[in-house]
Amino acid sequence: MRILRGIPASPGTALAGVHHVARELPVVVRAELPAADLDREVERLHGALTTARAQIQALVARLSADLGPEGAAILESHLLILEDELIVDRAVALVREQSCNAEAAFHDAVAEVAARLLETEDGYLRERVQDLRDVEDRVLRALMGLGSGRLVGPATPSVVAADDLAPSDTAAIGARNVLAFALGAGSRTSHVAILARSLGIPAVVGLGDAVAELRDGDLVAVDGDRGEVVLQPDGETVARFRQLSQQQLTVNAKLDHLRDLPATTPDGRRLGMLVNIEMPVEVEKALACGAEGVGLLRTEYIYFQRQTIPTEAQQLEIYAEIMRGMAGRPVVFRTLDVGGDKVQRYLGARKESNPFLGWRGIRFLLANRPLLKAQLRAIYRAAAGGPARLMFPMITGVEELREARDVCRECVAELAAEGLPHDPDLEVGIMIETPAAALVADLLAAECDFFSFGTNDLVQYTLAMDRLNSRVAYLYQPVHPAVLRLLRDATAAAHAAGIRAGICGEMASETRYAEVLLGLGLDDVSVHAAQLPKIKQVVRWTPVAEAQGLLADLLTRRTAAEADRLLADYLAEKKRRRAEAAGPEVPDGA
Amino acid sequence: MIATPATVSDPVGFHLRAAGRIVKLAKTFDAEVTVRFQGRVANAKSIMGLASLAADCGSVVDLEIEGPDDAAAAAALVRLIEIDLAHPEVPEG
Repeated sequence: MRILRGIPASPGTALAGVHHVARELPVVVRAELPAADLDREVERLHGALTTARAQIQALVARLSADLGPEGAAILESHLLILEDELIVDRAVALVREQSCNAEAAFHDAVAEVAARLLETEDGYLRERVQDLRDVEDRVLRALMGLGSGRLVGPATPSVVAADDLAPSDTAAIGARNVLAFALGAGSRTSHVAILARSLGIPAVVGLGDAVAELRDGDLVAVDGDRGEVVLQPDGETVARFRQLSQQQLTVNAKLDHLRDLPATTPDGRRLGMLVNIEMPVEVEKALACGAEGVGLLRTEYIYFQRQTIPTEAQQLEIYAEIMRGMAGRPVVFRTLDVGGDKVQRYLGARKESNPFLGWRGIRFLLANRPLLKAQLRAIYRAAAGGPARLMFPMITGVEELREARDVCRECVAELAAEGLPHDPDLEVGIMIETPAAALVADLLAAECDFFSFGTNDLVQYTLAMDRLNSRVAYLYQPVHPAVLRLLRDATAAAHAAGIRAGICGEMASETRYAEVLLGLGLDDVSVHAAQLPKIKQVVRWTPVAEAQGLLADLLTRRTAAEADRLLADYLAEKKRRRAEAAGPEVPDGA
Repeated sequence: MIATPATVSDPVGFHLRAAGRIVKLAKTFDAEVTVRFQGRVANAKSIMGLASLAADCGSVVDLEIEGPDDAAAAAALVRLIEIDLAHPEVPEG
């Protein structure tokens, strides 16, 4: 038995065989050839280029139906790389100049172009080295007579192990038969981690090179709460993990009866229970957990999944699919929120010294009108098929909101002139994630239809703590008096103006803050689907008066630590009381 | 030979897709097209050459077009770079 330690990225446990996915470059063996063989070597290279071209064309045909035309656009650029004189002519010249084999020459030619890209300051271009490697891999495989090496998902329930998975890889693998992820690279905020949490699939990331030890078919135990992967588990471990999976099922079954019940407190206040999602595939899980709507559709994934900007028509297709899936329930579309910790591949933004204070969110959108308008038009058109809502990120004041709404009006006028079906009156809301927005909430509330607190950023900006810097991570304090006051006052401002206030940050998905949010008087919470039944359970047990009392007590505390202790004591006492009352078990953990 | 500047209108600059559109168009002409930007030089028929210019939105690249159909090539390429690249929803040719 051997235990590999990584970063816990998504909770839960799994015990299953490994399905290892890898895209390793074939190893290039350099050979010197006699002058007489060089013509044949060049022929061999051209033959491999033809094979690669045929493979890509076949993929284009398949992907057009599968991932849409934008997937095909990536592959079309790969076709152009196969014809690029910088690579092909150079590789041919290298074969002749160095009397070397085609594999070595092609590898060197690609390396030269990759070096050119890596010299640029442009993050997007540096990422394009991936495309070059992809093409190189294909050509080398053709030269060596190997298969095409496409990533495929597991055929039986498995733990998916890989060095790293790009968003497009995850899309290719799908969620079917995936019991857990074990990855060499990644952090809690990497794409796979977010996806795994939203789908309720356990994940351990950051395992490093040790992930190579996970071989196909090996039985492994994954503990997504502790960030551990157990190789060759002994009998006792196997038994323990079997039991854990069983308990998980029992807890889920206990909460299952809540699915169709409203989140209503014993004294009759109802809280809207919404989910955060990123893609259509999550809709099914969301509904199974009892979601009453989507409180946050992060549209970044729809952009990052592709390496080209999705067109209005492509976006509309995806948005309409989500609206259909949600069957008349509201869906809040947050416009593209790039910047900060979100890598902007093809979107072309530069490395910034303070990315969280830089060109992100609404600032980026207003500076990229064609991109913003394509997205807004797609959302307005999707709204013809159900109650879609629009939400702008990173608002700091009324000016940005007005400018954004002007663009909305422009889009509506265009759509009307073009005679395209759309909903001109869809609700427009904003994220409250900067202290500035919270402080002028009364001014903002007068000009929009709803608020949603983005607490990850609100905490970060209020307490001036970089949430990616582990040395100041201790300052992530959602119950810090400064944060609580902003939440309280902005919620009051929303209600005074007669608009709704909700929350979609991580704070909402943690069961320990559920009573605090209830006490704030929020109208709805938007959480990870897997957390929804647990939060609903807490709401159904907690009278509003009690939650308000708790919040009032928290607001009297002078430090975050004191507030935190008060909250911990309250939760412990509540758990004890419930145990005494011998009611149903209180589910643990966030 | 025709020499002309062109302002990059694509919101994200010469990314791979934009470069691909330029290559496809350039290849329909016999003329040789050279693109210069900040001391770097690329053949407009090479996708990686164009991409590695790292020309972002609003920057001005210099085109040199030499060949029998240089006038038509210049007109078409400038139109693509300055106008058509600004619209992401224009379907790929």
